[in-house]
Amino acid sequence: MNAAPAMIEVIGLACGHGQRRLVSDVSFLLHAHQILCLLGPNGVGKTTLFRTLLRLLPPQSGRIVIMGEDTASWGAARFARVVGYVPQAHASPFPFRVCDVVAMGRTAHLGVFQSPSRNDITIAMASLETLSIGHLGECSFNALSGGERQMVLIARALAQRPRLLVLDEPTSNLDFGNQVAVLEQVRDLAARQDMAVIMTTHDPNHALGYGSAVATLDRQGRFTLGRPAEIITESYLSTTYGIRTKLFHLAGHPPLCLPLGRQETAPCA
Amino acid sequence: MVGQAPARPVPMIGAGWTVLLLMAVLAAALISLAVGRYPVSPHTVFSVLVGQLLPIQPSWPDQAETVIMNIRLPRVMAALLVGCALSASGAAYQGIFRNPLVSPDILGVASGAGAGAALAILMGASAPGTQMAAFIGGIAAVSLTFLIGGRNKTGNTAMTMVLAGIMVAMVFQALISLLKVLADPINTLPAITFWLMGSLASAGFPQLAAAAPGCLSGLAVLLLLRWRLSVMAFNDEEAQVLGVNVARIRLAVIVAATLMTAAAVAISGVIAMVGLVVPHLARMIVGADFRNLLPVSALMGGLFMLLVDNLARTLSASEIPLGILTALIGAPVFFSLLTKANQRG
Repeated sequence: MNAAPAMIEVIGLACGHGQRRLVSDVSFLLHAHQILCLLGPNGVGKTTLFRTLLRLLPPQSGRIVIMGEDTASWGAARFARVVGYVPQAHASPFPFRVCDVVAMGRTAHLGVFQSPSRNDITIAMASLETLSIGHLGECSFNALSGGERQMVLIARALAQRPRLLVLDEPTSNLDFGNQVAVLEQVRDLAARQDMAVIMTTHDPNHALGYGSAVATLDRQGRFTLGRPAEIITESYLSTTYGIRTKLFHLAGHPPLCLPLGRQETAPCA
Repeated sequence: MVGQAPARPVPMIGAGWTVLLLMAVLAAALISLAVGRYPVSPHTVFSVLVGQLLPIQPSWPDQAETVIMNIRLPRVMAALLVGCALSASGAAYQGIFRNPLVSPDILGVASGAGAGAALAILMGASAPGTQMAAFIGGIAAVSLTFLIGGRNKTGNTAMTMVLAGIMVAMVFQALISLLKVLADPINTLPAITFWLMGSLASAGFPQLAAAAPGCLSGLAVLLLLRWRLSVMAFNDEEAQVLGVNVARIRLAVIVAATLMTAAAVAISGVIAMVGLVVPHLARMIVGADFRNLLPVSALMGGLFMLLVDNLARTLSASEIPLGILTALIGAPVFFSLLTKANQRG
């Protein structure tokens, strides 16, 4: 751990829908330039935890502290000035221009009756340039490919000027090349800008390759935190996903995991 | 959907269209004052209007001035007001429910207004009384929809609201049918039927004065909230994370749009298609951003309504109900533009 102030500190967070508890005892601390990868099989409450972190769901207990302040009393706009959220790439029912979509990232910095100013448009265009997609500004969002839409949604989060960037499976629905492009971009942003990153992923290799820390949720709703290579082991992968895997350690490269096939006895049967 | 197709640039044209439409609306209004059973030359229309402001010697018959100022002017203004209100509120409803198939009637306002008007006509109320009853009926229906569908705790408020709106509209439609059965088939039944088909034949300055505050204040609120509307129309859950107080803005927009629709429907009766079709056409021209969409929808709606109302009062010896004309004209226009847009896209 370094000496920089913690961007986000989550203390004893428990979440679920109504009375039903899905995830409990979530605690972690994240500094600037760090990337936390959240890993876990389908249906263990990853989305619920994510929505609670984004304050779309009220926490059942625990606290979310951002830059030393408890966020419980924060309004939506105050939260959005510090936390940028990147959803999975999607289409809109209406034809919006890319630059308008990115300018939506400025909303938390505007009054209720205000529209983006010239300065906000400049910030939005700069966010597009940061990701080298300035040429898409005048395009229709719905006409873009999945990878381009994902990049535009990242640009929108950057326009918020956040200290914490939260990405929900940024590589889902992307082709092989776009997956690498998006992940490299996220790593670059974390390295260059004064912010921390939390992202969910389904690919252990993404967590091994890009995470400074990995958190896992298992089928009992237990939250485990550690360094990528410590958490993602052959035994972890086999107990969690019911498949045999082999981890390869190549020189000058993060470990790689290769699935070998299903186990004879499924662990969740 | 398009995948690998090259992205088509969308030029920034909102302000230009707003100015162009504003001029078209003014020109159409002047022409509308000239056409009708009692023909007046555009020159006379202009002179009469100038004569209201400047002390010039009248060179026109008194009858022309009466027709223009007391009959046609309030009707032209009413057509513009109703078209503006229905189209702008239609655009707002579509945005707030993130569904381009939504019309201003989605929460039951037209059915409620119809039931209110039918009840008033049945009880022998005057024209202002009917207008007031229609307005109250419209507001009551949406309030009911809100009470039933707005308290959903599990999340998808928009869906439950729309379903509640459909149910409330059904109940009020049944009430209208009941009132029709009870109505006197010689006097009140035709009056109810005619009201439900929509008309501006009885629109005078008093009716206009009663409808304008609701329409204009609602429009003002929508214009003030235009950026928040855009953010919510793109994706309402993300809007929350982007710092929009979604519940509060949604409530404000629904109240404003309902106020506008109820006030408009109370003066004109039920007019189909306008609030659904015009926002679509506007979106094809200037895109989905409400900073452009709202003014362009409002002006296009006013223009469309004015032209249709001119047809309604000139095509035949007796007035043709507006609801019939908007549907007969609106549907084919809409469909041809839609297929054209699909071929291009």
